[in-house]
Amino acid sequence: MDVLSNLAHGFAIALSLQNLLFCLLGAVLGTLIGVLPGIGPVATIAMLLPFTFTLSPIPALIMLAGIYYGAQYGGSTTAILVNMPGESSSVVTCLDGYQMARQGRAGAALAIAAIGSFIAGCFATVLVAVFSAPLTSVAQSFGAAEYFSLMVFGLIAAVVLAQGSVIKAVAMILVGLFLGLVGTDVNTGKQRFTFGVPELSDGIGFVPIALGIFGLAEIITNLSKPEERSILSQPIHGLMPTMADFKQAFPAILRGTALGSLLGVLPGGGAVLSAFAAYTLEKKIAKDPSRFGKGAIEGVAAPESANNAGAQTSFIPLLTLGIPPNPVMALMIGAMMIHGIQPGPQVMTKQPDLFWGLVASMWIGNLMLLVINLPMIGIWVRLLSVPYRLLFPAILLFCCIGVYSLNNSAFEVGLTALFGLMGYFFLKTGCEGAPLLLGFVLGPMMEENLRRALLLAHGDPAVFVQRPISLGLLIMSALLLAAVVLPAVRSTREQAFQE
Amino acid sequence: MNVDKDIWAGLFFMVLAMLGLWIGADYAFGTPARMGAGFLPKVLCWALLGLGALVTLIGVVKRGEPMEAWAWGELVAILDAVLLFAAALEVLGLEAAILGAVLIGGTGAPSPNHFERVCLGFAAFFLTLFLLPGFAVKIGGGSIQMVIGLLAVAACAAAILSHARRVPFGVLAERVLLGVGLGIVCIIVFVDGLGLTMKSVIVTDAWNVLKDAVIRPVIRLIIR
Repeated sequence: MDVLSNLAHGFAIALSLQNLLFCLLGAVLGTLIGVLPGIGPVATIAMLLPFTFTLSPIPALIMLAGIYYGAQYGGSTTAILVNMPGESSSVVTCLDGYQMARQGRAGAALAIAAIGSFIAGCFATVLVAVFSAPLTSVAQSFGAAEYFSLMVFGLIAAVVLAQGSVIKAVAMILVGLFLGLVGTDVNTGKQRFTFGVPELSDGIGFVPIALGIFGLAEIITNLSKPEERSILSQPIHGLMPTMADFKQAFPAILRGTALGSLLGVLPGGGAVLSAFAAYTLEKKIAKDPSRFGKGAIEGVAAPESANNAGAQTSFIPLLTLGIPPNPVMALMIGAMMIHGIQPGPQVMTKQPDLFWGLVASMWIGNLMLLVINLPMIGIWVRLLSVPYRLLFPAILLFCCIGVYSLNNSAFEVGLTALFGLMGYFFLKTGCEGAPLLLGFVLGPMMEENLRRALLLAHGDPAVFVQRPISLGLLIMSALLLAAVVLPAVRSTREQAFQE
Repeated sequence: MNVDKDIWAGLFFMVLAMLGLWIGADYAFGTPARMGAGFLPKVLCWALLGLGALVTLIGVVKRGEPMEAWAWGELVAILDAVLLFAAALEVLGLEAAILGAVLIGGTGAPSPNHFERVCLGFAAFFLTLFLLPGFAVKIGGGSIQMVIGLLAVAACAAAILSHARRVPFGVLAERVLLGVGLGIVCIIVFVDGLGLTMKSVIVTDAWNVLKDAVIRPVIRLIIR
């Protein structure tokens, strides 16, 4: 089979010493930030982007990917032991995980979370390998009109699946698209919204935006919250879950994996949504829903499997279509472009080493994470005793140095502060940062494709509805948008997010 | 102020859209077949203006939750730390930038008093002016920029000094130690290890001397 030989090729690449090392580094870093609250994968990847300059693209992307799925493992540790989600994707794990820990079953909860994540990771890796080829061949037949419609669909879907107000999310996309306009217009050479500042003529960098909105704003919020940490005092004994635990958890792991894989591929999906949906599903189909919130093992197994599966399958749209389904993937696009790789369907054919190496590294990374997390759990827990007042200056400095070293520009560091202010404002007014970042990354590509499509069609906008794929995508976007606005669907959506 | 979240958000969108329309007023619109540079900006800004108005209207009608109180002390401290880092880096070097950022950022940990907030506010203002490229030069050359820079330093120093009077000595000492320690780590890892170019003065020199005088001979000795 073609996939098998390709995967074998990928493993050959991923198993080289350098790539193994960076895979391990990514997994360890991911676990670290997963355990530490107050810093998420978006900020970390944005911070580390400049430091991957000196690497070749394959180890760089392997490391960055490792951070994302590593964070899903690490996040569960704090959720279970301290009742504090290290990552937003572990929020639901707190509900039952911490209760299990209080009943003295912390070891079982941690083990099930890790094993579930591992099973999900293996399955999702296979999915990425199997589904990428057909999707790529579809994407290769896309013209400018199809691409434009695809991006519209991606952005709309991101809005629908986001939490909070739909109108505000659409407005945030527009703000992102608007920020993406800043710089030199590629077609006419006109400087747009640059205020005569030479640093802006190449456009606003996405690292200042991502670090400002997701990094600085988060630090400020954390500082204004009183520090509360109650580390579980009783020692963890007996990592192995019992046979009964396994029997209960295994179907939940499978369901979580399936649901997470599906939701990861959707634009706007990814780890967070997958975990929430998986927990809701478990509660719905359970014979006795009242057990949930009181230490039901399915309540740990399903969301933890789902967030890991979702984290990994969200690479599918990135690698095949060049469309990022969530902010982390938007940063991965940035990482690819820094290394001179144009994201899109051609990655698979032109850079098979990168593509299959990355896919294979995901499986290896998951194996590493199992080892990093289970036997070494004590070390990670001890890390939690580092007070935030010592932690945040370091995070702050890494943010600053990261932004500066990208272009050696102090102006961009100042810009980060501006976006930090904006991000804090958005937090306080209930606007989501994720649609903004997606709009910002997709903006220039959308404008390019829109112009090309209309130029080829002599200015006739009907081109978007005359081509079947494009029409289909636009109809789906319209349906999605209409569905959210309809009252019946809206109430269930709100209900789903509240749970 | 007891104003709904949505009203604030909507007003922000509208202001941004109007700014975009105003600044981009002279960008050529073009035709759909041959779009000018102003085509998409104008379409986007009008859409944003409309959505902003809608969000504001929803806020007025629905009377949802009011905006939560802002943590001004923490906000200004963190943003100042970043701005100070940017301003100091190219003038004073990495060590000064790191120490300054840690000290200024540290004032955000226990909430500062009003005097510090005012100082930090001024510092933010001057630092922003100092950082805006071309601005200081346009209004009168390097001397004005120097004055702005000095004002920024003075405002930062006032905030740090006032803060130092209020917090116990141990907290301050911890912060200075943290700043120095982070400085050394950052230079070893980023400048020396990863080869990022950044102006740094004291520690890099000391590190180089140490390397040449102690570490390299020792390594040579071991290899022999």
